[in-house]
Amino acid sequence: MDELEFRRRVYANPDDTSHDIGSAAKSDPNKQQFLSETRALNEQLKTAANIPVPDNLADKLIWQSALRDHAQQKQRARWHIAMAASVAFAVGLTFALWTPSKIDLGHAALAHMDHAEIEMQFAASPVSLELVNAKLESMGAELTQHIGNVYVANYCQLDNYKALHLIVDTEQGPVSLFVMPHEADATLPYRFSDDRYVGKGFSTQRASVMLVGDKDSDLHAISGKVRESLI
Amino acid sequence: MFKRKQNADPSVLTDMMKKQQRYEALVRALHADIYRYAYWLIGNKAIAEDVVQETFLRAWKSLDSLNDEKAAKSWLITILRRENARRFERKQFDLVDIDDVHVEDSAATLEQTYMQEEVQRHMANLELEYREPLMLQIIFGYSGEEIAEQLSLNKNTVNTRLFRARSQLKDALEKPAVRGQMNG
Repeated sequence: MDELEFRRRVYANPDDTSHDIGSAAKSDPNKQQFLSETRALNEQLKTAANIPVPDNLADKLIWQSALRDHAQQKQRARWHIAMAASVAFAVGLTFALWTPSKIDLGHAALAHMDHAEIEMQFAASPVSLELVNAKLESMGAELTQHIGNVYVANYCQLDNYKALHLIVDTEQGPVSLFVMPHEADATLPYRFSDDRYVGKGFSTQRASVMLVGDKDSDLHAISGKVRESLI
Repeated sequence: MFKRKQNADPSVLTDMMKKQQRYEALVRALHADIYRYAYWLIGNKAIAEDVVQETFLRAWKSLDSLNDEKAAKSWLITILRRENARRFERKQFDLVDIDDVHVEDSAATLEQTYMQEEVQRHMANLELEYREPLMLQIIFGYSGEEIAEQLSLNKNTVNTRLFRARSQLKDALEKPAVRGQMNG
């Protein structure tokens, strides 16, 4: 191994323990000296490079990963809470917007019952099915069969909706039937009552319906008939 | 399906614990050398520590991609170099002066300490292209091939740079008119 090659290799890696480096050094005192010097220098470099590491760096690095995981979990939890809060808010808002109008439509029907009594007094003879259907047509609905004698068939305004108010004679006494377009569905109360009347709401194929009877009346029979007959 | 779901949770927990253990082992084994390497790459202790933190954070996030623990060293060095490069992308840094590093060795004589600071100063003043392969060799005990692979360089280029690094250091340490006497 010539001098230059030897120096190159030792400089490139003083810790090179290859056989040819060793034997080249043994056979040549100059090479041996160069090798020793370079190795000494290298040890100096190693020591100098070995700067102190900040205290607790390892703990810091371990902590930061744990913290990050924790933060991510917290973020995830926060996300869930945010979702839950949004849903709760939406539900609350829906109730706030929905419930009063439900009450209103039922209330409007109940309030209208006062008129119904007066109307009943003027009702002389039953209204024909044809006339009822002529009036129902504007609601897009139709009675396919007789549901009982209809004494009154008048348009009225319930809350925001135009309704046809029929007063039907039943075994339970006169029952008011309010027929409204389907738009009323969204605010249709399922059951409502006051101290004199009870009412229920449901939807048929083409219309929204509310039935109102005396407090103690059973609306089951008439509602069944209406469901069957009103399309 | 439900059965599998029930079994999934404990195994996820175990995976998390395994990951944490693996990460801790990695930190304990390599943080000091990685920090030293970062320091010699960057030349500033505070920035080096920041970059090391970023490095290990990235390592934590992508620990699953490390398949072989033997490759951990070079994997971390790769992340560190990338993080350091990102630092320059984010912001054009002023050139940082190399800190004075005092090796806290109470047994060292004043003269030894002085000598050591000389060596450190000269090492810090090496061009990065010489300094980086030299530090890979000194700190991590990398062979020429390993350095070449780590830095994506030709092996001959690496050997030449290592050669020049040492020869420059030797010259620099021998030359100084006043302090050179101490080498005697």
